[in-house]
Amino acid sequence: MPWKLAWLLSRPGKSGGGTALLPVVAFGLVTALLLTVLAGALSFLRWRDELAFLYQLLAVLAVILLVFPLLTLGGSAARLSARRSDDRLATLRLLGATPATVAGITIIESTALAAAGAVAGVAGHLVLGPAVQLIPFRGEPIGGAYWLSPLTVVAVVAGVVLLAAISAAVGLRKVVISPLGVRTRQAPAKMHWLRALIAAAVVLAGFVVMNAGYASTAVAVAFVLGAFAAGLAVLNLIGPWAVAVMGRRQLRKAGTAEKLLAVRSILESPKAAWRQVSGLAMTSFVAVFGGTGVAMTDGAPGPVSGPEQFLSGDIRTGILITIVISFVMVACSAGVNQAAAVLDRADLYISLDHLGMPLKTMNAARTRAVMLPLVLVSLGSAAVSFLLIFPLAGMALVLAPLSILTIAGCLGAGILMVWAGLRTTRPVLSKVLAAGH
Amino acid sequence: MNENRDSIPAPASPSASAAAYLQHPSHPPVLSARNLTKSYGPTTALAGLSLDIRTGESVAIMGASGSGKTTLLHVLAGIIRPDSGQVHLNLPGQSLLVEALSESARSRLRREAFGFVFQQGLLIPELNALENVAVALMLNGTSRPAAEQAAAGWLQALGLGGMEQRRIGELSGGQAQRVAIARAQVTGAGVIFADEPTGALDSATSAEVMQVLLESTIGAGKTLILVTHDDGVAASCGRVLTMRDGRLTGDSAGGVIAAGLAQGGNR
Repeated sequence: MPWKLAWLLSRPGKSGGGTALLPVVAFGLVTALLLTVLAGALSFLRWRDELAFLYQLLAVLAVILLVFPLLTLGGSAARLSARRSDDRLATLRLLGATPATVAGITIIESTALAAAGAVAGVAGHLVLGPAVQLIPFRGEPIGGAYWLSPLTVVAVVAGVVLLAAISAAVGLRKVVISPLGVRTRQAPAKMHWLRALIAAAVVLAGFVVMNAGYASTAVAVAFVLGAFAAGLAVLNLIGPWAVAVMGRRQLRKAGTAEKLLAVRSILESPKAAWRQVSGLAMTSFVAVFGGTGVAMTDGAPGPVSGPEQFLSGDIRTGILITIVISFVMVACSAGVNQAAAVLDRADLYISLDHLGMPLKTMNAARTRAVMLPLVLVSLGSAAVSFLLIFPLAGMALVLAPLSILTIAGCLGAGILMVWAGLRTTRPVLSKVLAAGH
Repeated sequence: MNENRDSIPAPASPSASAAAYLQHPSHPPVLSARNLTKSYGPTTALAGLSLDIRTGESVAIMGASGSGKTTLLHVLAGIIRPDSGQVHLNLPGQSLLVEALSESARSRLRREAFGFVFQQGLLIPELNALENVAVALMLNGTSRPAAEQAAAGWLQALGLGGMEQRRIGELSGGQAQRVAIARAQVTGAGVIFADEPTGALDSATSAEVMQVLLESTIGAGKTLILVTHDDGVAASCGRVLTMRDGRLTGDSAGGVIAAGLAQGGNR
């Protein structure tokens, strides 16, 4: 029965085809970027010399970093695709459909949209190919090593579709589809200060360990990896709490309607606000961490021949690519989330328009609700990273300011990219308001 | 329309002389609609409708679904433009042709001169009761402290004292509707539009909310225009308009409650 109903419900609803197109585009981006990142990382397997292991290790680190924002974007797309048929699902409940049937329909629909997006993403990956093939590593372009085997491509597509199905199922747990409508509102979550205390302890321990001196290279690598893991753990612990603290501070100062709306929207779910930009936190953290290392090697006389001569430049390239892809995904995720939120709250936005709230105010509030945590997260995590490796980072700033400034410039450009991504959702709100007229 | 941004209207009745002047038959109607037409594709929502509404009146618009009553409310409030016809708004010191105003000017008009109460309140769920009311004033440029002070006064006056910090989800349907009534009036709007204001409430709460709505509007010399399916709600208003196929088919005097409150407003 769910299959037949899902087919019947697949026709565009009152919000038009745009709500179906958005998750398809988002899943397309996820697939294209995932395939491209994977292709780039796997191309490193062609080397067999003593430096190959280091390149492969760094590639794995980059893939791990990019998987988090990818999962967030996938989850956002799945939630949006689940949201688009809310009104019809509520009607089905009214007609006697069981919650299991309704859940089944939602999952089938999300999976179908994800499959369509994933197929489009494969095409996107192929289109990106010629440009990515030109990126040089170890003194030569990636070239033919870029292409993935058909089996890998099929596995990635299947993975994205599976992610959509799981995200839709998980997302539904937070949605009550009753015969009278769909509700997701909850009491705002309280963020405990203990998170900050634990995070501070980890930062302190990391600082002590990093400055303790290393007995051997193996110990140094272990320390660096340990500091990396600790930094990520700290960011995830402190992130939602920091967003909540920032929100409460801003709430006291909010003097205009748009500021009040934006801050209250953040405080409604600091965890959700954090999750949307958390991938960026990790990237910013690594950008400063790795960027400092690159800057240090840039500042010191290095090898002028052999494979080592490319190492520092390649790490910088890798970091910049990771930052750019992270920001692209956060921009898409923020855009998809905002589009979903507008559709989710269409009645409320229409009523605010009737009250005379200018469109400009609504858009400003939505943008601020994303940009506040985004700026806090990207700059805050960069600062945490800087603190953890303070002596080295300080030296790098003096010895090779250009390397550090390039990374800072990328972070700034990324923030602008997310802002631009949010602007693309303005027509969604305009259409919703026009429908209310 | 609202020159002094921090001059907040208090929840009190206007002076007897002002109310008497505005309600006098010689004074132009606060809203005057002439030959309104509006169609949505092949469906005619308004078919040459004309209507005058005077200051201090409470007017219930009734009719079957699709009769055009919500469209009429939206045209009178400047939310949508009619295909043809005119709506004149006569406020003290100014007279406006509503549909001739630009989109942003109509938006400002709704913000400053009109108040709205919707069926399910449609309050902002992440704001508390106080902020939901205050935000209407903040949109007009009032500072937050002044807006919250005025909002607190309205909540107190409508029996919600002590509930200022509650989120909308923590209020009952009737309480949420009172917050919506406070939001509609905190700007000092002289004309309040209500679209099925009791549609989501049980009969006891519905009567209670209507009492609060009538007391705070026509009881203070303001004008109330509401759309309803409920005979009881309509009967509590001073005038009942009936619509069918985009036309007015009835215009009769309403119940005793409104008459009593309107007299009170004139005292």
